[in-house]
Amino acid sequence: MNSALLLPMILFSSFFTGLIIFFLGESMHKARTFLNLLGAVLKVVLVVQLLAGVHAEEPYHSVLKLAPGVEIVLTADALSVFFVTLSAALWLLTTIYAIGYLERSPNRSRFFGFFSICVSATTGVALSGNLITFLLFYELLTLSTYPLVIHKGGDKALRAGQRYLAYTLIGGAILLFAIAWLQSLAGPVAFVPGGALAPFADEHAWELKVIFALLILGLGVKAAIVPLHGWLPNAMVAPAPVSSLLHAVAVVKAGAFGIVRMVYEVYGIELSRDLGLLHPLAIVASITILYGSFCALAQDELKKRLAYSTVSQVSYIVLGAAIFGPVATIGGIVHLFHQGIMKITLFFAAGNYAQALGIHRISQMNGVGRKMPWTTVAFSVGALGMIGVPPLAGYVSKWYLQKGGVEGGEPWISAVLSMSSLLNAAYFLPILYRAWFLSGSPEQEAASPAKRTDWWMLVLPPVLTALFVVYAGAFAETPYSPLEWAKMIAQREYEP
Amino acid sequence: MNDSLIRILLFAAVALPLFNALAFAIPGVRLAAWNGSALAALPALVLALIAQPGTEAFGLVVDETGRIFLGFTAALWFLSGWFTVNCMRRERHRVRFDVFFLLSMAGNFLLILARDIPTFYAGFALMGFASAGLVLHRGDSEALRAGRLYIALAVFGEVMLFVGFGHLAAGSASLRIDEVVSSSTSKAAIMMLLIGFGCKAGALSLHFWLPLAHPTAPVPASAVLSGAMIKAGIFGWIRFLPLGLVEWPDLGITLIVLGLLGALLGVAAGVTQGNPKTVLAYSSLSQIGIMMVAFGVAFLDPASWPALLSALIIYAAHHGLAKGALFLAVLPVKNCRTRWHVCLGCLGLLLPALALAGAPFSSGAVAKLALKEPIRYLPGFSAVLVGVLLPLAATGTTLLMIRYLSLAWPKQAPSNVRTSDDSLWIPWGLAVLSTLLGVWFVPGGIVDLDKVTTPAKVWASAWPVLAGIGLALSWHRLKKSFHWKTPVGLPAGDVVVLLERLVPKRIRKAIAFVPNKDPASLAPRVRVDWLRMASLAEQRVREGIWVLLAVLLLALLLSMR
Repeated sequence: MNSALLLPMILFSSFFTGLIIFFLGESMHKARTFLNLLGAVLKVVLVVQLLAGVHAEEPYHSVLKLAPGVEIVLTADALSVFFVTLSAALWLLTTIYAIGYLERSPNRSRFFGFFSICVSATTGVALSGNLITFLLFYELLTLSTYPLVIHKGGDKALRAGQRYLAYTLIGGAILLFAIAWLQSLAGPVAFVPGGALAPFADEHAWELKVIFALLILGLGVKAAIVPLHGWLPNAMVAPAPVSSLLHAVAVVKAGAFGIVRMVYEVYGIELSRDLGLLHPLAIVASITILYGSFCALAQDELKKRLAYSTVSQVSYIVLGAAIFGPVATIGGIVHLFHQGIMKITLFFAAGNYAQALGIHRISQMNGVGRKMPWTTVAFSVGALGMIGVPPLAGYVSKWYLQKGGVEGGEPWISAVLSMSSLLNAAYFLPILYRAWFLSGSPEQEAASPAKRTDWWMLVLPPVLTALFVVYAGAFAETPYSPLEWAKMIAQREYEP
Repeated sequence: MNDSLIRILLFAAVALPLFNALAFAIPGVRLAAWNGSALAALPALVLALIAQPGTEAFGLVVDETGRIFLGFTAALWFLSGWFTVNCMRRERHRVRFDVFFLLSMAGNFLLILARDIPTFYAGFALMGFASAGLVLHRGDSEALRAGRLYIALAVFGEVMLFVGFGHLAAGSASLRIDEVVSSSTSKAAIMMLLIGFGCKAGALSLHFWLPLAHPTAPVPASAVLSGAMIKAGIFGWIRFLPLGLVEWPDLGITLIVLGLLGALLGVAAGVTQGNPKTVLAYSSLSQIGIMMVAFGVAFLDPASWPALLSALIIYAAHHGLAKGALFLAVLPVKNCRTRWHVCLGCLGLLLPALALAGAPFSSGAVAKLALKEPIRYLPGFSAVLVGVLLPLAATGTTLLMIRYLSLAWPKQAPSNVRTSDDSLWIPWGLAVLSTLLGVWFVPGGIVDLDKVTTPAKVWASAWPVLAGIGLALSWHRLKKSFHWKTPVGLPAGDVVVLLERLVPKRIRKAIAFVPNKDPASLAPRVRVDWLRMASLAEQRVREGIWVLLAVLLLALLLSMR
């Protein structure tokens, strides 16, 4: 395969199928399913090829010149491939899940069309090679997600969508402003391992600091950094596959990924440290971690509790970026992947409860373990992983973050992490207790999941992701694990 | 020894219980899985009997210490598993119980065999979380209270261990336990690990889950909780503390004082209890206290560690087996079928009870004498320690055992009551037998028969027991002749109960120690006022922030020239 073509093909594998789906009639169920799966499978196949290439350090670079100084650049380095793999693999599962989930609901063509475009935008964010390209896809992501958030219609969904747009568009505008300012100082900025801004540090130290703050502010909206997280819990009105996508694959991740890019490949970790940017970022991330967990405690709505948990967990990634040293970098980057697979498991399971039993609140969850054992086992694995119970994925991230903190001379990180683990246990374990040990009221007990032939489409995805949560933790030291890839990324960032 | 056989056994020791638990997911083989779970601990037991120390495979290792811990732990799991299959056949949630039982078993074996920190931690966590399912099993409000406390302490302990391991491994490239421990100098790690494992061992001040959890769990579960799982805390201390490498007198004294207090308070609280299983739980607190003294001595005088280590291993094995036998006894002897059963039951109760008290020629005597040897050479207050306080603890244990025997004494069942199942007597009988024989088989020549059977040694182990019996008899006489009423018992869970009484109701509800009418209402109860206030603040933040962002953006745009 021509390496110049591979990246655009990955990008368009979902984009074109998405465009075609728009024009399919509502009743053309088979064609739509075929196109959806075709795009998703094709993308996974192409990404696997890309993975092999990047592992062998082959260069991938595609450029489209728009105007002098404005280039759309797609590149694939270890970090972007990491994110692309996550989104491609989880997108395939989410597509299967969404087909099962939305089987009988209206406006399916609109939904799947935007769904595909949303994933293409995420791929673009991951593969973009300079700031302009990044911004372009980042905004495309904002716009293509809006119809998904309001998909259900109704007052509540529209208000949530409004809030989502208000937050993300203003965040995007701040990001645009910061990027424009940066370009006016340094010219077009490409993503380079080790950072591109070091030559300007002496002259423009003060400006660079302000721009960094603005960049974090702009990206922090999507990454749900406190106090910019307000849109996320409201966006829970969206259907479960969308929530999975928002939390695990696309939107929140794009924000966190952006911050990682800014720290490592625009500013460079050493410059960030020298400018004194890392410490404030670590504090902001720590506050977010604790605050998110704390708010999660107070929620009775299952998806809202999961949403606040996302607020908290995504900042682990930011925290990893904010501690100097390869060990912490590994911890942060690997959590990009681990948080994705754990959170998507939880949202799949939450969707199944809603779909099969009409359960939306934690207080209704008594005894669900008996009725839906596979879903609940998957949920338990995801929840225990979030707490950081070994040998699950979350433990690996926390271990590297803490080790990085202690070795990087920031032992207070252990306190934050252990507080967060305690809070995670406090809001997840009661759910598991209800699900496995309590029995519900008589009418709850009488309700049983409706028998459906395509039930596997809803049960298989969470079980697979839960298995992967176990794999990523228990076999973290084997080749092809997320941890090994994260180690490779960290190595390439620190020794460019 | 056949190498590939050992490798298979190493793998099967952990994998068989795990796969057995997973097999319950397949509807067709449930019955086979249930019956098979009696044998799930067998590979580990065989491994402990035949493995040469130093065998390594799959990231697992059997060393001398690990082998003995694996031996008595696996024996106990095996007998309790057998017991479970026989006694819980008709229970409603038996499959759930068995799954948690097998998962805890796998975790316990994994942590003993682990070579690396993550493997150990995974085993420890698996055991900790799965065993909570055993404590919660009964499902009533008492079980909920105990289970909640158990989980809270377990999670707290795990987090402490997480931080401790992190500090221990910082700066070290290897994750092998032996290499990391010998290269680390972090005092923070020592403290964290002491606390983290202390939660599991039930060391004084972290013990209060113990007298609540042990009586609440079903009988075979309390046997392994008390016999095997709290020993995992002791095992963790042995594995991870830099014993024999670091001298830290302040910590040593603290541990000795805490240990002795635990040994004595366990007795004081235990003799007032009315439930035989609670008495045994307090006895565990007291015995763990004595083991803590040994750790304290090791921090005072690192040179004595090798001798202390062998003593501790014997002590742990002896206590594990005897405590397991005593817990298992509760069910078979309750309603005996014939008078023969009653006689046999009395014998089966007396033997492990005497062993625990440390009567001459018993495993307890061997363990206690082995422990006194290295302490004897300490300067200063060691004379008081060895001469007065440790025998006092033995006398106390005798009192506890008498209390236990008086509560659990075998009786023939009245004609209208179901008698206890005969099939329970075999695993229990084997447990009693292992108490008698187990310690004498400890390999490596640790136990020297000639040394412990001299008249002086026999007397040294006999007099505390005789003193205890005398005390109990005279107390009984006094009570009778002066018509004293039995004094009010200390409520089980001492410190927690005190907290429950002292702390205002609102806060009590908030931290959820008190069961409500609806035992399920965990989530709403956490929402106390301050949390609601936080939620309100959260609402304000969420409503206001994007206005702020807009203002900021406007300001930025205006500032552009």
